[in-house]
Amino acid sequence: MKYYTVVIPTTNNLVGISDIVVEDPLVSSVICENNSLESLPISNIYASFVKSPTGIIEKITGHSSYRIDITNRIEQGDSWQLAIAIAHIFHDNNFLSFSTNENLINNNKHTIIWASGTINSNLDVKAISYLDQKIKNSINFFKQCIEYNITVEIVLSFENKIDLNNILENNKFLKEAITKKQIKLISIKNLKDFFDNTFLKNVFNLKKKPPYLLLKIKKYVISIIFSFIILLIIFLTYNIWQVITSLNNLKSNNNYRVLLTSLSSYRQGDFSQRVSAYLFDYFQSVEASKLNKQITLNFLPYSDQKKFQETCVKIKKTYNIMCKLNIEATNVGDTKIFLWMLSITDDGSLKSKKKINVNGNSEIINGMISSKETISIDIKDRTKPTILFFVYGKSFDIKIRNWLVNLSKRNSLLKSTVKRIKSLGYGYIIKKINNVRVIEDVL
Amino acid sequence: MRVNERNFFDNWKEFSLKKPDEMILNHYDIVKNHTDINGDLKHKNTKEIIKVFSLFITHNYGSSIYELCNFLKYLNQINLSIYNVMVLNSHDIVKKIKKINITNNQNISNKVTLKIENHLFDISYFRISTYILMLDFIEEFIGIKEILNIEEKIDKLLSYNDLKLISNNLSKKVYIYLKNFLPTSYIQRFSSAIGNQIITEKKDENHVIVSEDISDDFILNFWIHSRFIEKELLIKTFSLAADLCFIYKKSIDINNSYNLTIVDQINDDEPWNFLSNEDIDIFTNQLMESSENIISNSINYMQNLHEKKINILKKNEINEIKIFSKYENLSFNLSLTILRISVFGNIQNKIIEAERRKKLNLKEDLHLLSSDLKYIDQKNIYEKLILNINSLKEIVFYKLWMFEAKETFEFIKDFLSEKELEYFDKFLIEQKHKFNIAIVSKKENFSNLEKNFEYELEKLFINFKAFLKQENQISKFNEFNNYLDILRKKTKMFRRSGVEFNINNSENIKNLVKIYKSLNEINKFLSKLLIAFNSNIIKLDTQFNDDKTIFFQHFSYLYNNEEL
Amino acid sequence: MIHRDKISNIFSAINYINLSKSFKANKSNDKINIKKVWDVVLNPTKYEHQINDLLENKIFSKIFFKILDNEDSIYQPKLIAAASDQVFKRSSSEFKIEIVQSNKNKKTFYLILTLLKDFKLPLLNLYVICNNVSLCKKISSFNNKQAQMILKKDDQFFNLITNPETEIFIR
Repeated sequence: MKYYTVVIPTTNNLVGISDIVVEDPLVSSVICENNSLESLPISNIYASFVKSPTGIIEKITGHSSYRIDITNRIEQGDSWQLAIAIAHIFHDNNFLSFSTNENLINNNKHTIIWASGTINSNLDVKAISYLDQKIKNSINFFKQCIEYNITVEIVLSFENKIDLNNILENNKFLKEAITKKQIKLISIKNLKDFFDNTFLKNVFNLKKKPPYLLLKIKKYVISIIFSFIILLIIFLTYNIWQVITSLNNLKSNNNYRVLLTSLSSYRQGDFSQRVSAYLFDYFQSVEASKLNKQITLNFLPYSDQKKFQETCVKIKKTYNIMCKLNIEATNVGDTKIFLWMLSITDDGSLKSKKKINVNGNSEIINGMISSKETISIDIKDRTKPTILFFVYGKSFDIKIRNWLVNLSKRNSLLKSTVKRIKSLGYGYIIKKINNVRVIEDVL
Repeated sequence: MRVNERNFFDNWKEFSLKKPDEMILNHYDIVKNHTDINGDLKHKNTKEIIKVFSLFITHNYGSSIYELCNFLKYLNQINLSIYNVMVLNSHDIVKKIKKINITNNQNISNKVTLKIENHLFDISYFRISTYILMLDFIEEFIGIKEILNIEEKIDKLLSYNDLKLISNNLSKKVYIYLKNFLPTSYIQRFSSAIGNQIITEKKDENHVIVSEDISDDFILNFWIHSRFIEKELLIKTFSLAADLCFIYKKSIDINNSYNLTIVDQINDDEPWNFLSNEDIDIFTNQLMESSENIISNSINYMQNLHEKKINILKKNEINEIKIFSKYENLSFNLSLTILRISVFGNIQNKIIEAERRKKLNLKEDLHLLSSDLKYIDQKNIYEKLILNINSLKEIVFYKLWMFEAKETFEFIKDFLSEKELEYFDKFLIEQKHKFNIAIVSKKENFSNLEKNFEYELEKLFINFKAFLKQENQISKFNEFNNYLDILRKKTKMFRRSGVEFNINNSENIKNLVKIYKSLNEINKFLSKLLIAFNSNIIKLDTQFNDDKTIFFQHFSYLYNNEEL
Repeated sequence: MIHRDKISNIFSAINYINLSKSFKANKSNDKINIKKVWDVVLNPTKYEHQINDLLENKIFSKIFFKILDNEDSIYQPKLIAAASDQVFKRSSSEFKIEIVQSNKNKKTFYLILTLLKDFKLPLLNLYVICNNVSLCKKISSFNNKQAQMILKKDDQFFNLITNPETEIFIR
């Protein structure tokens, strides 16, 4: 870690920096001599040098108020600007080493920065005057540094190059020291140039620290938005839950009509209602599929006649036209299931909306299957295709039968019945046995 | 006593001012040099400063302090703080008061009125300069803290009675301060010494001192016995002793004419009723009296001319008459003392000078010095001076006559013989008659009358000159005409540096007129003095010898440490 | 006796008048007089170094502040309902004073004086008076109507300015 000590040359003597402290933003920056209570006459200029928009230091370090203590008085002039700017930047990054009143050099291992120049708002470093006097005052100091092997960097404006060269011509010691690289000479046009060669290259990505107020607002905005969202979610969830609860209530009260009308209105309603309806349907369909899985249907063709017994075997989904059919419904679940079956002879009128006299053509069977039990249903022999509508439910409900009865009278009710049954969470399966005795799924 | 700084205090070198006197004079000087907030002098009228100052010294401030308190209350009522007022001059204060009055819709007049309960008090603007002078003196005497207290009291006061109380208190405080000073002051001690001496001589403790108590003899005795009164009060020079006695005599005269009460003013309930402003004014004026006809004016004028190198009177002549500018009319009462001062005072001066040079050999010197100067000689000097001055007058008159200055008309009577005077008067009467008619017919107002009078005077003069030239008058004024011839010759021969006045212009005429008048005054005075000599002193020679013995004895005591 | 006194007084008066013509007072300035107080009021820079000594004189400070009160100066009377023992902020319609602790040294404070109006006279001194104790501090130059001074906590001035009972004059 490289540390630096900054010294400020003046026409009287060499001044060191003994302290830099960030002060309250209300306070105007001050520059004092060695902890005194009087601010030096240049404090006002220094304050403008620090604070935005006139100053540059705040733009770089983000602080608008400093107290800086120096080891001797500086009463006028601007040539301290370069040294102090460098000191501030080092200080901000914790690389600055302070001088004391007695000794400018605190630690022999720290590099000395000897700088003199003025800086404008573009960070351009401009020339200073009395350079020869300032160097003259520092010659002994330089000699001391060389003796102790301390690196010295002289930082000046590019505009002072000619002056410096003239001085060097007359000063053998200095010229030699520079040649021997005991003293490094840095001529810069802009402050950034100085730091480009150090690890503080990026210090000038001027962190535009947004104003205090905006920062505060930013902090809060996130939490505000966040809380707003949460509230919204809670609100929605509540609404949805309300709706679903009401539907559930309706369902448990077997108030199917209201339930179904509510559902259909919710499906067209606002967002929360639609979501509720969707969720409700989803839950019902989950239930329905559960029920579906609980029953396995086994179609067993058989014949009373011995001659057809061997041929009345289901091959895939077909069986001999001459056979009779027996359906075995097995409850593979743990709970009892109620089963309804409607068989309708379909003479192609399913798809039409004609009313048919189905008195002789339909048959409704219902029963309960306990867990792990089987019932068999015999299907009378019919030559015409037959629709078998199975409905499974957890509990017995007379309405199912009624609907099935209605359905048997009017085939057009099929879709709506299915919808209802679905909505109410009943399982169902519809099978069709066609002419050629193929069992296929319908819907 | 007319102040004439050039000669009055030459003899006071004998002692230096000590503490109490110094402090009093300090107060005066500080007040005199007070500046206002702009840095200008606050009190521009020195006369007024002296008047107020003498009011304090003579303890006659009771009624003035009462007025001052009324003024302060008025200021308090119009919210003008005392601190502001004390750094303004009277002109600015008047302006401020007027401004406030305008805003209050009061009529502008030359005064304002204070009202407390039923008490009304008029404050005239021209008195304000006196009030601020008094404030300044009071600040000097009793300090700014007291003034703060007074301001607070005045702020709180509600009734007229309170005001009277405050005024009384303030007078008392000033009295105490001054009373602490004056008895121990050097000056006061001299006055006590003189007073005591009078009483001793009269051998009557209840004797009321009068002006006549200060006589020539008294002064001599006082001088000689001064060492017995108080060691510190030994007065070496005779002229100093005479000066002090002269002032004392003057004080007696003033006191008698004004009958002022002092101490009672403080303890009395209504001290302000004793003296009116006019009385005070006249009184204080007396202390610094200056009048047009006083001899010192003339003598000073001559001195001034001499300094301008116009040597109408020669230097030694002026020196002889300088003493009269100090003592003025008292010289007639104390003419012997004048002689003594002139003769023995002179001798003493020479002794002092010789002593300073350490070349004093008293016996020898006295013998030398006394031989050539006696009283008679001094008297002769005065007589000669009168003659000289007369001839100077003639020359001046002649010049004026040649310039045809109308003022000669005033002077011409001095140069006419008796008969000529008769004719002259006749001429005047005729002219006056004419003049009066002229006045009556024109009916002009007064100022024009004056102008007219001057013009008439001029006319008169021209008329007279013409009149003289008239055939029938030449013989009547023969003497005068001859006289004029003589004067002409004299004037031609007259050579005195600086005295030319050959050009006929108004300035020269003015100067010549003034010179003539001054010379006239001086001569009148000297003549009177000679008469006084004759009446007061029996025999000059005898008197001189007696005095010589006394004086020389005393000189021996003073300068040779010889005991009597 | 009275008669003689009267004569004596007149005698003294005449003599003093005569002596006064050639007399010069010795300039002993240890007495406070009104002219001196005004001089200090009108010339604060001239008396910069002596002002605090002068203010120790009770009479001086009494008159001084009375004059300041009437003259063109900024004044703040003692704070009415001060809740705390020390006040670090004061404001009136004409000015604002804030006392901020330094981050460098807890015993050092910055006094920041902000003017809220324009003033034609230059304001040079800050006077504090409390219970007959008064002090003065010179105001450093103003920058954009703001001036800043450094105070020490142990200073008598600091104690006075943070005391809610203190009256403030700026002149």
